[in-house]
Amino acid sequence: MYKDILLSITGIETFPVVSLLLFVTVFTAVLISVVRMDRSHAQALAMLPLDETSSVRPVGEAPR
Amino acid sequence: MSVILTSPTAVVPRTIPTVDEQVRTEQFAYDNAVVRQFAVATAFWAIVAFLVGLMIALKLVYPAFLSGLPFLSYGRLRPLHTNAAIFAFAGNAIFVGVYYSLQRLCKARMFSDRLSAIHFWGWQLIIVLAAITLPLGFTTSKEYAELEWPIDLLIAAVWIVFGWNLLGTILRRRERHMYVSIWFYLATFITVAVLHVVNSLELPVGLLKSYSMYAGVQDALVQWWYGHNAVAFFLTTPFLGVMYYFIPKASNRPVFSYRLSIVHFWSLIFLYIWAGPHHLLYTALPDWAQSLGTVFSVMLIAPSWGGMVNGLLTLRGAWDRVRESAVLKFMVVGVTAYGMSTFEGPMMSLKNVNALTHYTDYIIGHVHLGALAWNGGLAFAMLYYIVPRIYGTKLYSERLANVHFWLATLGILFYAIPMYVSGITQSLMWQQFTPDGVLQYPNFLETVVRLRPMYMLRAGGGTLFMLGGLVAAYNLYRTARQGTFIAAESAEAPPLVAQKRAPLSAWHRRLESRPVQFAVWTFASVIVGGVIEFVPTALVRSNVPTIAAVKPYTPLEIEGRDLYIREGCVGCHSQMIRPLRAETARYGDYSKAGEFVYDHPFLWGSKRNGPDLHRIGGKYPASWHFVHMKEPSATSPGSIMPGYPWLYDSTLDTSHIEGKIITLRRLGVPYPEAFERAAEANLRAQASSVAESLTRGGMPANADREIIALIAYLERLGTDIKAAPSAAATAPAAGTGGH
Repeated sequence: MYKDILLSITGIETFPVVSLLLFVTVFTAVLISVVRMDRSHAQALAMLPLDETSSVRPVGEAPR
Repeated sequence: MSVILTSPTAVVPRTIPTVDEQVRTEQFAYDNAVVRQFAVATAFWAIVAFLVGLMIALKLVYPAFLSGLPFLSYGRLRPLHTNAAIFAFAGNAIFVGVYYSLQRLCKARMFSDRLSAIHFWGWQLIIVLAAITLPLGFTTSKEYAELEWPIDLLIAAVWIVFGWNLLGTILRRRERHMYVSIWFYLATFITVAVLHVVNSLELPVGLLKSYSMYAGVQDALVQWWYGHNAVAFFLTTPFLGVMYYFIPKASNRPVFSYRLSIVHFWSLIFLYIWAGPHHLLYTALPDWAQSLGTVFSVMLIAPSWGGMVNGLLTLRGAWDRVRESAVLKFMVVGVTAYGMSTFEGPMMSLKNVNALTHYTDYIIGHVHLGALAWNGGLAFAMLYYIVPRIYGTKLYSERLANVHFWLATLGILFYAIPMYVSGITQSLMWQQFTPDGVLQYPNFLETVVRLRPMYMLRAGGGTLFMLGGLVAAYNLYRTARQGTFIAAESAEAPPLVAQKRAPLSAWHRRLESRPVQFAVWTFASVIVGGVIEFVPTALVRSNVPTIAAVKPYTPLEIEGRDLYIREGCVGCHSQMIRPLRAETARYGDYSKAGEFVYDHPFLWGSKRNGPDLHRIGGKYPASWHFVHMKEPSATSPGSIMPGYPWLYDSTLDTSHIEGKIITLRRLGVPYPEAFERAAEANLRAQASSVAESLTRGGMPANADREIIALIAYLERLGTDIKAAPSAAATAPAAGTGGH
């Protein structure tokens, strides 16, 4: 039943090849972009969880 | 008024020009109420999951423990335990982490309080329905996807509500950049949705009975694509999101390398989705798919360890705090266990290692290292971090938290180590030949009784871990009692529109500020692996060579098979003989892909507490099964299998047999036209013949009892291939005897 649906998709045999190329391309792009990434920008992003917007602080913790 | 963004360590200047100093900030409040609801549910279901786990652990030591009651039998409780641990305990813990951290990372309240409420109560309803239906024997038998189709639909609906709330919050955020945790949450939502839908495709027969859309090899491939990625995207990615948020929060320092986290994320979601076939090595799955699974599993070490290192190195220079903080202790042990599990996984994907560990207790040790230390550790660390904060107080007792930590750690060791020893022991015994070339332990039972001490130790380890959980629940309850709940935690931040966009040079930086595009890319990534693996297997007929002698099950055998599914026999017995000498010598001819073409669902199993049953047909007379199933130790002294006395009292329900035949035909099983109308008569005839043979053997039996159907199914198993092809070619498509 589901095979008929899959088989009715034109050019489905190229899907795996397209997928593999997509995978290799994106993976390479991520590596390149990360290597070239601005270090200070990365550090600023890493600080995101530590931005306190709330007025509540646990007891005994000094305000930052 | 403007928000002053300062860093605690003051070494990293914030360089993103996000705040227009002239713009007023917006006042809003974080929703802590939903966080508290999920936290209470996490603690409650944790204890339930541990308790059911302990019950089935004890049943493997003392088979008589709580025996004789169908809804408390091992086969029915095992899926309850796994579902409770994964979806109730870890699931609720995920939602605690997501609802707490997402609001703070987005500097926004959850998108909709109503959606949050529907999500919470919907999820608890699913769990309660699971806790009712699984012990009653309503199961699809597909591991971690056992729930029947109406509950599957409910899961899909509630999951969409969660995703809607998640995406809505992200779209309404006041922080332009999505922190790495949010990516992991997004990937979790998208991928689990895809996995759940694809694996749950089934055709209903009745309200609580359905047949998988796929058969045999394809069903196995889809199931383990799902099963493996349920571990990846339900038990790993959301917890990585939690790790990336809570380790920096608890240690008060930024993550070690943000750049590493980007590589970690993309490589993890890209690679994980391909690795599913490593659960099916040496099976009847096509070889190329097995190899693909192995290669990608080994590659997975890189991103997994990258993530572990990133988490642990975040604590560099702060190790003194680990000594004092139970939160960090649980985090460190959790992340370390993640590293160990993700090393074990790829190693066990190598065929030679897999031949040793598959079907054994080693796997049980492996998954519990992950579940107890990684998921459990992070969940409890999160609770210890969040509960005091939402109650505006300190943890009631740091000392009790440390007691919990040691109980949990010792519990994990006493659980995992006996399982590793037991797994390797049983595997080596299964494979041991004498110098004469025959199996040294031909009786499977010899290998079972040897493991009993290890099973006792494991139950002890589980008890320690559960005691720790109880200590935690008490500590958190007292913490809540001494504080005052802050349901709405006020906060302020400038709106997103008022913030200047960062110069968007790098594409990933652009992507990080565009959640919808980000989600689309994530979706594309996870679809890739699934498509490559699945499409060729589904379409190329030569992948599953048909065997002329293999015929559809008879109506009575279908009913027997459904009883096999209901009682959870697949939890302890595989139906997949690997092409290894030790297996063919013990069980008979290895299993061929073509033998399973009518198996909706497949029942290959993943664990051998008992022997493989694929070639059980014809091995024993019906009378042996009749005695054995009632009281296994009668035929097999020392057996740890429970008896199934209720199968002898209950009358077989044949009211759905017509619908079952129609449904299976619709799925591609070649029953002749109008066969469904003859099905009931066919069933009665075969049942009478089984009952007569039992009576002849001195065991008077009623033909209308459930046990008759189960025996008919067991007698049929794996016998088709033995029939001569020429004889089989002339046999009717759905013969009355089938063998």
